[in-house]
Amino acid sequence: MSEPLLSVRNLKTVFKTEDGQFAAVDDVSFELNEGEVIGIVGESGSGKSVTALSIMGLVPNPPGRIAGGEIRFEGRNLLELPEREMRRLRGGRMAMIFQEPMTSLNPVFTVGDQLFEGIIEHEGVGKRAARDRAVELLDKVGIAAPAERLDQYPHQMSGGMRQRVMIAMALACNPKLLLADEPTTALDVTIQAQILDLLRELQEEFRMAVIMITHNLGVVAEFAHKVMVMYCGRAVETAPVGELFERPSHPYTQGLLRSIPHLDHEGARLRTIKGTVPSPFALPPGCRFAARCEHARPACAEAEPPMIGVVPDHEAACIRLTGYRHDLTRATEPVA
Amino acid sequence: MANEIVGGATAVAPADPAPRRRSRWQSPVVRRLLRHRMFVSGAILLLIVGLAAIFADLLAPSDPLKISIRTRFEPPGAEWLFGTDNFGRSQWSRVLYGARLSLMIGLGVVILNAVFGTLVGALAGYFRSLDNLLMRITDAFMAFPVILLAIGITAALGPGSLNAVIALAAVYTPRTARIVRASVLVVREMEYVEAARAMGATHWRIIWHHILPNCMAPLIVQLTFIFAYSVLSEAVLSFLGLGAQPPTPTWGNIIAEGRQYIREAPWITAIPGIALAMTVMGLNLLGDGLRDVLDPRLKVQQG
Amino acid sequence: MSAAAAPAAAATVKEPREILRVENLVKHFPITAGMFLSREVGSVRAVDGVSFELNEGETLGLVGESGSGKSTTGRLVLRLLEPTSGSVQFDGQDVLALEEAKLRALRGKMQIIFQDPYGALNPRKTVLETVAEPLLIHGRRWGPELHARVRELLELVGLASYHADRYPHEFSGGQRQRIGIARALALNPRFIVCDEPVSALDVSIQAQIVNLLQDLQEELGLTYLFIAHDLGVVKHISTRVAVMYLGRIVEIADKAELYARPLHPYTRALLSAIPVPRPGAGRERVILQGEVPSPINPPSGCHFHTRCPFAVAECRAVDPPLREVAPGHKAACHLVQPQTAQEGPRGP
Repeated sequence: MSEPLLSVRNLKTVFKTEDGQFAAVDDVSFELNEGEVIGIVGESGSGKSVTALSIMGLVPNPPGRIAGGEIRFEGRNLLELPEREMRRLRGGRMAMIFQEPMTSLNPVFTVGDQLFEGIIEHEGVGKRAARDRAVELLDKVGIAAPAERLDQYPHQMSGGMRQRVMIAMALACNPKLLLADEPTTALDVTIQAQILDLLRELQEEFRMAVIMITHNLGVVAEFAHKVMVMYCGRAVETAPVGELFERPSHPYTQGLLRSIPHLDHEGARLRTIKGTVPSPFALPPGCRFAARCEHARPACAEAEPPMIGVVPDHEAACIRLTGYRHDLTRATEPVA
Repeated sequence: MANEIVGGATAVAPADPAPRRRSRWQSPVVRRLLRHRMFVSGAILLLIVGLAAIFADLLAPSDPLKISIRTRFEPPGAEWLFGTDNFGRSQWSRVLYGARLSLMIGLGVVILNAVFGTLVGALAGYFRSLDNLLMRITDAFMAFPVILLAIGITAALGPGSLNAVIALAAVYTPRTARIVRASVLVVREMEYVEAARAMGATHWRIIWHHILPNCMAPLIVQLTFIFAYSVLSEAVLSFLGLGAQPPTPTWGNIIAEGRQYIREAPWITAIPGIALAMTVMGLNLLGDGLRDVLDPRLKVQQG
Repeated sequence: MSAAAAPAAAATVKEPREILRVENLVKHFPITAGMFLSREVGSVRAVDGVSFELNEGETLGLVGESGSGKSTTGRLVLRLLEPTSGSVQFDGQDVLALEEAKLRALRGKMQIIFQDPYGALNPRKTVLETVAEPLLIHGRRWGPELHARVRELLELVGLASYHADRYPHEFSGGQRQRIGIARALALNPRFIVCDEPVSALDVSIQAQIVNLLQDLQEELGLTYLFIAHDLGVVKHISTRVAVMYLGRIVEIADKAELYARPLHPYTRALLSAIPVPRPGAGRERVILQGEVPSPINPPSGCHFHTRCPFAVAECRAVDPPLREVAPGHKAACHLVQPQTAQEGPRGP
């Protein structure tokens, strides 16, 4: 098999604050092939957004810094590229969209101006050609009357419309990799459905690889091919999407899945994960989830559990899986 | 008082560390202030001036009003630390006692300013119906240059240190009111204000307990600058003969009196001038430091 | 040590007793222009004729997207905002007719829990001061009794009494939400407006708070108006659900009924839009075209007709009333007739 489009190895990104230093992303590895969609799931403080920023080379420095690991994209280690090269890649071969499009669009320029900028810079075309291309892009992302919209300012648009503009900007240079950081979290459900639909269409059409960062397991289930669950800066479980929902193997993943009230959920009480996410400055020794885990045992506090294979492509960082091979006929609970 | 209650509590499986006593000195704001170089140097400067003013009668044994023909225009030296003036009065005593009055006037202005500025700002920001009226009045005040208006008011009220305080407070209050109003407008929209309304709290309680305490940061910063400006402006008023009347020393009137002898005895004007500059600089450094630490825009969100 | 915490309500609920009746509630926010003599140039019709009633011990889920007026409705019911017109009856009292002092006295009985756990607590007050405040407002004095009551409230919501001395910034989002709940419970309310109480929390914390709210309801016999945009959470906690769109209730029914047989096209679209955490679920999805129109100039007739896949001429002209199409199930749609209620509207 050829080299994957993106391969992240042992990524470690640290932040220095007044209260000390902590690793927002700690030893995270994953791979992504062309045209593949990975969902990165986690709660606030899990390091999912910092993972994306690290790949884009956008970690604010200071206070942040990539302290170790390797990010290979199309055969090159991004961490060794000079900033000039990185800038060429960003908005070219890889692009990113954010949760709040209002803050990522400049309020004093028209939508058109902001679109042209990227097109002219990355494609080296003239203003007129850029305008044509911009109209084409807005049309592509489902904006009606694109030529008129080009002359509007971001504040004249609704949230869903702005997110479409952001997607158009990201698409401007046919990226091979799109990073979407909670792209629908700020939107209403009906608009979220529109945007997800649009993203899926575009992803298939352009065979883009997508990193979808979200806290919403529903979005992951509908959109991603594979999933990485993060907790306190570490990946705790990776699996193909069907596998993950069918056989969640890390107690945190299991807890997450159980605590969401879905539409087809019945029953009087939700099952919860007890306690709260620990402070990044006071991480417990060993497994970071142990204090909240209903299966915790003394050994959990001794060492950070490595990723252990459940079935091919499905790994989880839980010592209960040690020496265990999944009985494929069994459904959820990996250990009796 | 609250500690006894905590002590007697029934045990509830604590996941986090047990109760601890925190003193204000350990609060992150104080810690950051003490690490802020500008704030600390400002504080030291002010401490020197302040202590000198407070202990003026201990530090300067000779009467600042005592005239002596024989000791006129003595230059600074071993006998007369800061020299003497045209009446042979000890400059050391006069500058120290002058510090008292100058600082007291500054403090007076700050207090009046804090009270009325907060009052007007809070009323305008909280009761939207009053806003337009109050803000147009403050605009009218702010249309005049500060010192001109202060001169006008003292001229109308008659010279004297109390009137200088009133004039300066009147001049600066609209500026403070604007700043308070701006933060009240932000804080009144917070959900805890709505929560207080939902509990049935009175307007007074909401303003006093919920809004004003959360508007203090910009106000405190503003007041340090007002303090500096009033010490300076008072010197100007005294210099023009509109402030404290001779022979009572303030830095302003010492400088005013000394200006005729600036060639023969430059120390008469220079020394209170340096003291004034030190104080104003100290206050400005303090204000800048407070702003850096208290300004929410620069504060890192935690939690 | 149990002071008189719960009103003996829970025990006596047998016959459903109406506790809140809201009729034709309207709130228009004027848009003004001009500096000195401001004149009204238009109005945002945030809430445009909302009616519902609530029985004691029940939870009415109020769902809708941004701009639907659901949060405004919650505030109007508590009279934190003055309605433009309409009526609110709480426990037989006309809330909108109450004078200031009487309203203040009533506030203890009807409370609110907020969405933003960071904005809802005064950062300069300790937990003790925050939770004690409603008691102080309503005539209690500082003393051992008050401290005991605060301690009791904190334990009721799953906090420890030693938390009382701390400031909000020392707590996580979920814990802050608990503090807000303790404050709301201080005066033994009977009715609580929960304004998106879990929307700002992490998934694993949401469930804790939802469970807490349910436990408290059972223990204290509370009645909730639960405002949310998350249909999953609403389904879980509610007994009945009302769906709002542009200031109006478009459908209201018992929970099971609404989720099993949604009749209004908007409700259907909303339900089908939710991503389900089940890969390959492959549902028929109704994707609505366009976005919610501005409440400044809402569409004529049925507010939803601009996005409705089934809209006919009548929808553009006539505002459909909210009428009962099945027992306890009301919908505001011309195409949903009592006899067709089994299927709901069909495409042209």
